[in-house]
Amino acid sequence: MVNLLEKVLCIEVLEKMSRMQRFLRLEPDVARLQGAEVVGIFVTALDGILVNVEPILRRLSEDVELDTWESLATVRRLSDIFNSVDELHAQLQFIHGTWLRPETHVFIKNVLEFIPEDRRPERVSVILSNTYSFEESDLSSYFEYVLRTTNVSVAIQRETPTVFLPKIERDNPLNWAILVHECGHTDSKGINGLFQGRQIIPDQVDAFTQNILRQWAEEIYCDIFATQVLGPAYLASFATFALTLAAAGRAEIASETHPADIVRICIIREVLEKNNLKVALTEPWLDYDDVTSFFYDVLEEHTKLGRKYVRPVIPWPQLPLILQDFVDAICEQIDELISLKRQLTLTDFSRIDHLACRLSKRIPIGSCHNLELVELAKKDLQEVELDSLKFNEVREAAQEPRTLLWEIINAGWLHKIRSLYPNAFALFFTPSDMAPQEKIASWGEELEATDRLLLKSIESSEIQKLMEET
Amino acid sequence: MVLSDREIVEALLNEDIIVTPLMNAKEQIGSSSIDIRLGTEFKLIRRIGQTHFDLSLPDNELSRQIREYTEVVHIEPLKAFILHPGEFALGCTLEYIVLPNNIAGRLEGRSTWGRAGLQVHSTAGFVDPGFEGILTFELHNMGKLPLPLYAGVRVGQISFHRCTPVMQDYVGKSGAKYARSMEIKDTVFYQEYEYQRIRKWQSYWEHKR
Repeated sequence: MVNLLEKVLCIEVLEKMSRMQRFLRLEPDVARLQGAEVVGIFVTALDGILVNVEPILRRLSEDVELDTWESLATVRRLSDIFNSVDELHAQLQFIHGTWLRPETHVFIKNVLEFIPEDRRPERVSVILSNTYSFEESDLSSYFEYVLRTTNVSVAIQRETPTVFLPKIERDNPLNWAILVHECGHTDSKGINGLFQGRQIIPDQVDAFTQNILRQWAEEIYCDIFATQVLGPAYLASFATFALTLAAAGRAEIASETHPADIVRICIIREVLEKNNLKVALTEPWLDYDDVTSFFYDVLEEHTKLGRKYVRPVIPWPQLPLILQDFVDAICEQIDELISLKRQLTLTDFSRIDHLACRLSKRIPIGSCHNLELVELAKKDLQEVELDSLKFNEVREAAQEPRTLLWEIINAGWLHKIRSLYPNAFALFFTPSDMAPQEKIASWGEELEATDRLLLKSIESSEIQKLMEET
Repeated sequence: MVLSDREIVEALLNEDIIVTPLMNAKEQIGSSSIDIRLGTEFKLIRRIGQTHFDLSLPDNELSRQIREYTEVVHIEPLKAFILHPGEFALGCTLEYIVLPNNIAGRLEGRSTWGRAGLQVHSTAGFVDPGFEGILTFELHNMGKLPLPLYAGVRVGQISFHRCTPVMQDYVGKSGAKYARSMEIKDTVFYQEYEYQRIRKWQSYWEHKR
């Protein structure tokens, strides 16, 4: 497929616009409390932004391979467009009445269960944020800090770990995967352990660099935590998130707090490979061995385009040397430090394909038959005389064991890659008489259907867990 | 003909009928029905400042009015939804149900809850062949005490009736308003063709006057 990077990026930016449209439409109290005019202004602004995407859609529909300069120009233009969506997102502060989905709490609760009990926070709060960013913060210390600026000293004794979810991602469990990384930040004991064992930060670096590396170490720890909890789905979520942000010119450069996204993707890939999970999700149409390589390549392609703008925070001569040693040291210790209650293996992924098929038939996947038992039971059913004991066994096979959170999210990503991307490519990049507004509405319906399936699955899996647990 | 437990199990194993999640086959599959559970979403009727639905309004405005008329309540697992005496609310099944084109379903209450005064449907208990989606409960507390309802409890049951294959199943039918629904949908009575006609006539006479 030609212009894969530009197409994937364009689809991701359009998805954000579609999600904002839905956010405005679904908020039931907005129109009642604030009047339809407020919502109307947002909708008009979004329509205006969409007009700017039209020339890009037309050009990409021609299916001609763009040269490097045009490719860079297209990516930069998409960056401007995402910036405008991002700015508009910040204005959602004027929209009240937003509520958080209960499934988000269920999601966070399930993620925290991976952390051993002695290190696990009791609860992590979730706040819907006006800013398009996923963050973690201790709300208590943040309030102390804010109040200090008013010369009033207030001490809030307890910790209140809080993660921030962008408003337009409220219904999108596939991107909640990034919250898993944020939950990793709440495991402060685990993170501190990184610096207590083997020396991971080389002595020869100056104090400024040491400080940077400490923060990077925490980010890498959280990335590895998320990778071990979710497998390839985390890489997919993070890569698309990074791609969209990189379009805004923010993420291909390392900052004082975060390593460059492409470096983080490399580390995530390494961890997946080490755990034999790199090939856990595959999809033939991609022309890649696995989904992980597809996302890596798209991001790498993008990074190459903007590479000359990169300004390293650590001076160049030191960087490659430090980085390799540093990452090696973290990766060596990470299994021991993270010590999750459960590690994913390739065998665990055996039914993801089946679950993705169910999603494409629009059936929720909170639970799923044990296919081997079903086959045995079907044979038993062929007997004409079936005693009640045998029938009980057969009936048991009709029962559906629940699926786990990571299975739902991985199957969701596979479904997105397998069905949603090809549909979006066909919809947006083939010439047709449909107006962009109609196209985005139709694409939005597909996204919404998938969101609902996944939300329903998360919810029913949790209820099943509660009904099964003693 | 109503399906027996053996026929139900066979249909479930062959995925002719899908009832998902089927959490506990032993408890849920009865001799000729499957118990179904309460989901997490409810819709309550809200007091609004309107005397009636104004049919002269365009579809989107009517739809907005109807949305205002109901309030969505989404409960977390293990949190109760209290249905007060005399109160009416829409609820939904936790299960997503798929029927083939030769099996119809019939939604019923369970006597355990009936004895406590809970009615789960008042008028729409029939499920067409070929239906796909969650089912809507029309919950009504006929008793004298508030009822605490939780997601995942078995409040209803569905029986299955075999028929000859229908020519047009529910999903394929034009005007199948609630097909493949994953949430409680508001009524769209105004989209029914009779109401469309009535609205056209009303608008015609209004214009003439």
